[in-house]
Amino acid sequence: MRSFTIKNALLTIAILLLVVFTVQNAGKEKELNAVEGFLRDSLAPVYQLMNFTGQKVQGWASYPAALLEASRQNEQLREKVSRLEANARQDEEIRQENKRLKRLLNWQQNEGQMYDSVVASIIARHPDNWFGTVVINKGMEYGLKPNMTVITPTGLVGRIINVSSNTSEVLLVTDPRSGVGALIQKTRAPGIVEGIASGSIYLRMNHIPANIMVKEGATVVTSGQGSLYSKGIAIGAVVDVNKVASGLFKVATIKPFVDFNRLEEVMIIK
Amino acid sequence: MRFFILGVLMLLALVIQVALTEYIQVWGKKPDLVLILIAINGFLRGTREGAFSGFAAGLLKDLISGNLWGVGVVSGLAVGYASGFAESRLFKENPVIVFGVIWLTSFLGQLVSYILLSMTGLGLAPGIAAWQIIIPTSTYNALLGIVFYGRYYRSVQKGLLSSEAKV
Repeated sequence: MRSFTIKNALLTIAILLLVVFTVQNAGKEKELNAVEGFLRDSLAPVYQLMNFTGQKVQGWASYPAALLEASRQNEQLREKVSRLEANARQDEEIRQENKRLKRLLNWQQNEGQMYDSVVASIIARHPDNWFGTVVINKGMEYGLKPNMTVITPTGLVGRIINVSSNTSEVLLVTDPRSGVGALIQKTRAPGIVEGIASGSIYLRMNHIPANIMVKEGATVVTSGQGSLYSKGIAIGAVVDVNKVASGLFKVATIKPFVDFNRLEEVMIIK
Repeated sequence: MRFFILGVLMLLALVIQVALTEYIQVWGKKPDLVLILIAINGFLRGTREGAFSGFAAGLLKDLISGNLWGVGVVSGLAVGYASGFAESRLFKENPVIVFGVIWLTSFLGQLVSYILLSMTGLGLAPGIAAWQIIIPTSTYNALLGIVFYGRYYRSVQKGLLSSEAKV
């Protein structure tokens, strides 16, 4: 009984000491003893090898899944890129249209203030190379009539030759059937500007009096006199001048200011 | 069935020619897609069908373009008949011959158009007409024609445009 009591007392003391020691050392950094240090150093390469092997095994095991995931992501990204490219193209188209319409609006509010005009888009062209006509998307409903002058901010385009409720056909100045009463802007030399062929990038100015000097680069404008076209609209610039065989007149080649191959919007003077 | 498909193709060619000109024109010159179709069809089918399809396509062209009535019809008829004339005389699988047939028939069609238009007061000098319209258009037609010829030829042999094709 007595020995049991001593034993219990010793055990209790030992436990209490252990508790006190643990509590005292809690939070303090423990230094390794020699044995602990040796063991840790010896096992470090093994730990590293195990760790490396584990990572590799995990990599190999998950490789097919990662491949599938990458493939799926690739597909998604491709779709996204295609969508973004399409959007960018659409945005560019809208930007370009906006730019052109702004130019037209700007012209209408400034130089074109004296004209009552309607803006229209080109929706079709003549199927043959013989004729230079285009169809625009506005007609009688907008008050358009035959012989109205068609222009862009850069110069003369042509005139309306027939109309339906929602469309009009425009005879371009490049059409060989077209004839425009014109003047050399500075010298006021008169003449008739005619189309050469529908696809041609040049016009011809006939019947210029031989006694009037015409310089290369001179601007040609509509005369308005006895003509279907309004007065003072720019047509183009003189590229070269020649005398006709009779010697009474000169004929000039004109480069129009309007690019007829890239015409998209026009204005019709009412 | 094949006449229906041919009609749809002609209409499609005409619509592309009218509405998408800026995408197919080169140096301001556009090809005559309808005329290419007439020439190829005539070359593979003979004078009778060539002339008939040329007439129909020309009529459609005159109707849609607002041309002087008859110019498209007569030139289409000439192209269809002339290309059909070559059908039994020339080898159909040689691209050089195909190019030559389309070029010559296009030239003929454009020449017929020029003569008719001049009679109605077009006022275009022959030299300008030849160098700025007839020759460039014929060349462009022939180049474009050989691109489409192979597919059309196979379709006529054993496809939707063959004589045996059913609905």
